Amino acid sequence: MTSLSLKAPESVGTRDLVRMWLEAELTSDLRDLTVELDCSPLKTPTPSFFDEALKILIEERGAQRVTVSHVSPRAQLFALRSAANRDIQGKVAISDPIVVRRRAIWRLFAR
Amino acid sequence: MTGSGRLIFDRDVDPRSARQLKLRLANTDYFGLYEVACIVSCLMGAASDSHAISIEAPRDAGANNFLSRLGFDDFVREVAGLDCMLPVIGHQDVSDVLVPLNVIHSSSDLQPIQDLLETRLSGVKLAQARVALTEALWELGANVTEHAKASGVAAAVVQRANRKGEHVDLAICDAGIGLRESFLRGSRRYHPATDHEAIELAIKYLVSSSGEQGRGQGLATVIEETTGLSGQVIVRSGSGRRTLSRDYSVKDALKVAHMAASVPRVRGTVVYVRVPCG
Repeated sequence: MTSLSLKAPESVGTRDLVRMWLEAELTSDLRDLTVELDCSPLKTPTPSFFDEALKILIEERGAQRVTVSHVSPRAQLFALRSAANRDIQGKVAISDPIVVRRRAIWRLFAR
Repeated sequence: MTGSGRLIFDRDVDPRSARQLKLRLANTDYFGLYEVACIVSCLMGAASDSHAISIEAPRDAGANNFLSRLGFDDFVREVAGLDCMLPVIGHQDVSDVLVPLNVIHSSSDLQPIQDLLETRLSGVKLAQARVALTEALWELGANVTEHAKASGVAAAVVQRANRKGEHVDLAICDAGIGLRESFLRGSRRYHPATDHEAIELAIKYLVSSSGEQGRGQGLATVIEETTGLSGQVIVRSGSGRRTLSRDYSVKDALKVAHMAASVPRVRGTVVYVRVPCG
């Protein structure tokens, strides 16, 4: 299966901005493609960003699978919730999640 | 509009019925960001309806000062072509204002506001609060550009530590069609009979005036995040108002429902978010 890499811009918090970005980036048909969505540049991941991106990539353009990478635990929740709301859970995966470091908490315990 | 510690709307400032908007702020000695957002919503509505507008600036120095720091003077000049003659504030006096009153015409107007908010929030220790506020800005700003059918306004202030602790207030308001009309004009799936019912629908997860599957996450997520941080959200639209916080009791909800009929109208929708960050 061929894959396509996409890097999210820094600021696309609203549905219309997501649509403008993806329409500029994508070819019309994504059938049989796996889309690797790198969210590392994204400053403020919002529920609207993930919902609109998954809607366009999977429901409208027919991508086989979307792998969302470099997202915080909260952003993972948004992506997975949107997938569940749209009944496309099997087509959405998370890779390389950002791990919240608990060093500060351990330091407290170590005192 | 008069007040002595609390903001009270006169019946005659209802922008839907009055041909003239009189903002009588002279006796008002208290302003918070929520009150200013309600005033801004009324002002924008009156300006878009070409009503005559007169503003009596507050006599109270503190109230006057707060309006000045928020850039109310410039805002009124831009929206209504009026001069409020508020006192000139020095640059060093505006440290509590994170974002002065900023007009939102489209989603692209949110980017510079986010940049400003992020820069000014860099001193806020709680990372979760910073994330919650920028997320709220995008989601609530998007609701204005998508549903209100009118421009909106965003502003944010930080309240330094007092007996209630340090917190950041963010308000986004518009003078648009309001939540009820948005539902009635939308997918026609929902038919709220009152503004209060429309607010109750709007705050539910996955309920949207568009009626589309998967929509209706923004406001509900902002409420979830804010109340999870022990913050507060106030949603006001038309004659409805709803306050949401973690320690909001059934008694409070009943009181609000009872008071709903007596809440004065605002033009459009006001959403106010208070996030503790200290």
